[in-house]
Amino acid sequence: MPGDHSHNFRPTPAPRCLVIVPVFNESGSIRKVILRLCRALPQFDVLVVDDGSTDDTVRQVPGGIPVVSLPFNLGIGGAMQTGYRYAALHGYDVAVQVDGDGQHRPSEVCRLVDHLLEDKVDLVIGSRFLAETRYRQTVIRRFGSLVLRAVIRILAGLDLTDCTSGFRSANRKVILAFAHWYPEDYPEPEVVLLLRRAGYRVGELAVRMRHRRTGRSSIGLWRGLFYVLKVTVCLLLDLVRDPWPSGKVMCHVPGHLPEPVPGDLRWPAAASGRSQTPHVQA
Amino acid sequence: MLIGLPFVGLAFWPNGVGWIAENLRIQYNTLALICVSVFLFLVVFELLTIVSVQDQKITALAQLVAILMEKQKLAEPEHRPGAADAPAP
Repeated sequence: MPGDHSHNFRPTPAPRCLVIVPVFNESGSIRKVILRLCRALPQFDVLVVDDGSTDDTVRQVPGGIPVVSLPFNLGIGGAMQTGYRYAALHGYDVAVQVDGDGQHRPSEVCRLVDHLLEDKVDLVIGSRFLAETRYRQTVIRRFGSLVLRAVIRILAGLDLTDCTSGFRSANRKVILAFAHWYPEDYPEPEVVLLLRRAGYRVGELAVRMRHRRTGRSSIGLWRGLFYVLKVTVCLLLDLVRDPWPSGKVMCHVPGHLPEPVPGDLRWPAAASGRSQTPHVQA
Repeated sequence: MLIGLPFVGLAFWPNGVGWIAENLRIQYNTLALICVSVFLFLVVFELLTIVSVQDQKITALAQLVAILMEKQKLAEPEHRPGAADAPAP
């Protein structure tokens, strides 16, 4: 019938979502974390990235969950980039970072992804402090967060209440960018500034988090102060570097065989004003 | 190569450092120390650049090897898809 386009309707396939769980010596909590994720998010795939754990973290992961074991410790940046490479290779549309220490609630993952799928931002950061919360930090951590918040507001024009949060979701454009390059040492705040400079959209969403139950935080008193100083220096240096290095990344090309093939990588140009430079596979 | 060129120059002109020191009115020892320091700084900077590039390559290789091992099911048997105690959805 005229005007009847129902026969042309093709439902949009649900986006493929991957939850990346980087772990380093989290044998006390990883099993519970993974089981909670699988129960709460049956439609999501879960990937554990073992960053060279020296305990039996890998054996604690429930069977059937893919575990990518790095041959040696690369740090949180290297572990997360591994997860993003995996997501790019396997054609995922959304990647969510969830810590293996039980701080991040599985129930909040869907909210992060839904916010991302509204397509107003490319990276959503789950913030502990955006809304009124009972979450408490140590004095050093709170001081560090405030300093970094001020630095990022000055340098990137973004007012993020929790720029060190590792609870974040990324769309495919950001997955490809991260798969190609990712800061190594303390990536959370650096990534925000670099993505912003490269023209990506970064947003925040209020989430609830638990306090760490097992394992030890990698940031103590002096390391915390040094962390703030080092990150500030890194952020200042990031102002003079190319916001995101160009190049190719292995990624899945939709419509082709599921085997990964070298794909092209296009950077958003609108916000930055730079011309797009497609890198066509050889 | 560029770092080594001044040494080639000095090989043909041994009194070069003394001549420069005299014209700049700096003591010979001081100028020699400055030259050696600049040389060492450039060498270290060059080596750090090489190390940084190699570090990125090693990181990328380690990540791809880990992913390939998982893909080729070289990981521990219980972490292959379809394993017996996989959590029920």
